[in-house]
Amino acid sequence: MKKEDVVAENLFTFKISMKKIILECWNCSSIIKNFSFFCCKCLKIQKPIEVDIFKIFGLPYNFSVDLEKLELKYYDLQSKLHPDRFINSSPEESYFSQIHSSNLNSSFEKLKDTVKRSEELLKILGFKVDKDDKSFNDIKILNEIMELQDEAENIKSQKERSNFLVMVNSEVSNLYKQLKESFKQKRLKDASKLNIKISYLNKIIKDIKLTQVNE
Amino acid sequence: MALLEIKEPGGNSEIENEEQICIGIDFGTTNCVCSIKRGDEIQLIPDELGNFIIPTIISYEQGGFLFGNQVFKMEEYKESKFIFSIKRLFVENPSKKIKFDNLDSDYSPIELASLVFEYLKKCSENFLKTKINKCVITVPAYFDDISRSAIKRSASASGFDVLRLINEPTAAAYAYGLEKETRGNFFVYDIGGGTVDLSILKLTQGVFKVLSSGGDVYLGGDDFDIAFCKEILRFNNLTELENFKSSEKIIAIKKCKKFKERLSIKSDFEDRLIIDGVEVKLKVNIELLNSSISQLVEKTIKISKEVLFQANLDVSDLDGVIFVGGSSRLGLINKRISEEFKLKIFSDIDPDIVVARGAALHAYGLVNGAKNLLLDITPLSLGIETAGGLMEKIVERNSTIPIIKEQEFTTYENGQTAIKIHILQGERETVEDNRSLGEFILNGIPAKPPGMPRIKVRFAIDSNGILSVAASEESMGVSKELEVKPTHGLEVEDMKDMIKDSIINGSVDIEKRLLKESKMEAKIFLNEMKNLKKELSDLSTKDELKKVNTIINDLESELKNDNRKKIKELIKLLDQATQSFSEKRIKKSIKSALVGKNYDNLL
Repeated sequence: MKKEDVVAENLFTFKISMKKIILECWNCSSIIKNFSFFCCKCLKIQKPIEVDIFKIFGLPYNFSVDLEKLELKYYDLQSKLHPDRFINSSPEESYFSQIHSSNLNSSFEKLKDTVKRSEELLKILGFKVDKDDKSFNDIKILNEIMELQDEAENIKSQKERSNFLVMVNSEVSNLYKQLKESFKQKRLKDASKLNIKISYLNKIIKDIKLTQVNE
Repeated sequence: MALLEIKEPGGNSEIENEEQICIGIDFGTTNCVCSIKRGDEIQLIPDELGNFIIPTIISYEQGGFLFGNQVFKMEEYKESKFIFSIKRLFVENPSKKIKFDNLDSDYSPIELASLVFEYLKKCSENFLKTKINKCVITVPAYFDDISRSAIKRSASASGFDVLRLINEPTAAAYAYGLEKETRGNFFVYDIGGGTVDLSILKLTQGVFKVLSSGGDVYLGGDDFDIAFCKEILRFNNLTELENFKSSEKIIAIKKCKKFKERLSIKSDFEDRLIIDGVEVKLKVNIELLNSSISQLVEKTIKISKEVLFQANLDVSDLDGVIFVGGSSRLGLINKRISEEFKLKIFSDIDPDIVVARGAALHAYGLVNGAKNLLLDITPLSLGIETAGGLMEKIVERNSTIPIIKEQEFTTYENGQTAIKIHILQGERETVEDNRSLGEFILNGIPAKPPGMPRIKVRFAIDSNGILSVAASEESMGVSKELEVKPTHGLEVEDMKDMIKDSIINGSVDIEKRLLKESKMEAKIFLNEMKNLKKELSDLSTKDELKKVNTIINDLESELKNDNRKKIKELIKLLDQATQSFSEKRIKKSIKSALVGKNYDNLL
């Protein structure tokens, strides 16, 4: 099935323009072949179309992302597309910028987060994560997580806590390496499992840090 | 400076076709400061008396309103005759009317603030000798939607075109970053007269990204003064402040504020105070000040740690602390922050005017173009009510704005054709603990088994921080939207405690949530079984059917109790008992509609 181009008419109703692959600039009618924020001819901001989190930053579909470079790219794009830059423009252009800027924000957030990034990548690569049995086919993972959870709850001293954090963190970085490898070798099912495990461990880490802050 | 005449607007402006004029206003709880950038220069705008710092005070005198320093020219202070800390009233209730003693009509904080804005506009027009329309106003980062829109409304009512509201700490960092080209992660500690406002900002290549913010809209220098005053009275064995006559009370607090300032030069001295018309001697020293405010200062340290946690940073990731607000001059604050963060403290721009300078810079950039950019955040999470009285967060707090987020929801009853979208703001798990921003109903959902309709709910927060919510059902093309214009304010106590509560009550909340969820899960399951009754008896053996019905009855009666474990157990039993039935159903190539269990919340 061909991917449809979705054009945002306002912040809420996405109108589907009929399977148009080639887009026209709304201002000068120049044809825009590749995804672009601005018309290459008249330099006007373009209507937002639906793009995934990789494409919006011009990234290949790889799990590994140079986060430092990405951040600079994000700032660079925001500097051009943020609504603050369109204070003196037409309401339409200002409105387009709201959507572009918003898409940049949410895509950047997802790319920065390992778990969200791999979830998106799995989706793009065609792997279907069944929401209903997310993680629960794997009793082993579940049991491991439960045990860690118990352990975390029984932490009594500051020292125990920091030891535990070191342990979980090293487990996460270990899993992260495996995840990277799984994506490289296109073992998507493994990647999905690893990703779920990492997300649970991250949650455990976050909860522990939160208790630390509250003490 | 002599009182300048106000020029009538109109005629050709001298600076047409040149740079556009847009002023920055720091509308503070205790003071207002206006500033403008023209060319390469940032100037502070004085009132007609030549003062740059204009107290946020109004009084009514001899048939006219007096503002700011005009009020202080009066010999006597009479409490009923002037109104101060208008910004604090915004947090309480922007629409509640306030009475002036010598005036017939009452005024709401919005109306009062708009009078102040009008005055500031006049001061600016006098000084710049041109008509001023555009402005940027700073607000505490922690201000909620209601207070923000109230401030914007006030300024608009006075004839301002408000191009942007920016957060005070961000404005301060902006002033430092642009003028001194600082780069890195900065912690902005802003303590004004009425609010504490803490933010973590990341500065990179001219982009200022707010990572997190937090604060207390009910803690500031004014509270320090009151605490200090009480301590002085206690130490000197004098009448408690509560027993003071109201006019003397204000004078006493004001005097203690002066003592506080004097302590930075001299660590102990003697002075006088008038109590019940009698002048009494009293002793003042720095220990009294420090002990009286130490608890309040510790409160700000605690918020600092939370904000740092929210930004996902450690102390070692920070490059500096920026001090903003008059109270940041206090020795104790300097000492405690130095101890906690061991960082370079930026305080070389006068903390009273740094916000206004940042606002002027931003204002200039907006209308004349700038290389720099501010990426702000939404301070509180936003979401909707889901079945069972829980809040499902759609936009997490500290999300960079503008942001559009979408989430799918579904029905939980057979043939349900309408769904209520109840919009909430806050960090807690359950609906009643968060604040309601509004609601609407989406009708015309096609009648289908539960879990089948796909209802998309979309939250959009634009770069001004204004929220709109829309819901749609794709297959039927029904949709509805709402721009949230909250009409009722959050109670002060709620606001103050909202985020704090979400942490303290975390464990209680989770238990509450788990129970609600288990009950919901059970109800959905039971509902499902009811709908499948006929199929169940067709596909099951007699024994199986009997077993299933017994569990259903048990589960139904267990729902009246709050025993989560028991409910969970029964759900599990029912799940097992219906296993072969659902397998048969799937085999019959009917999509299993048994609702998946949400294990995410087991953890």
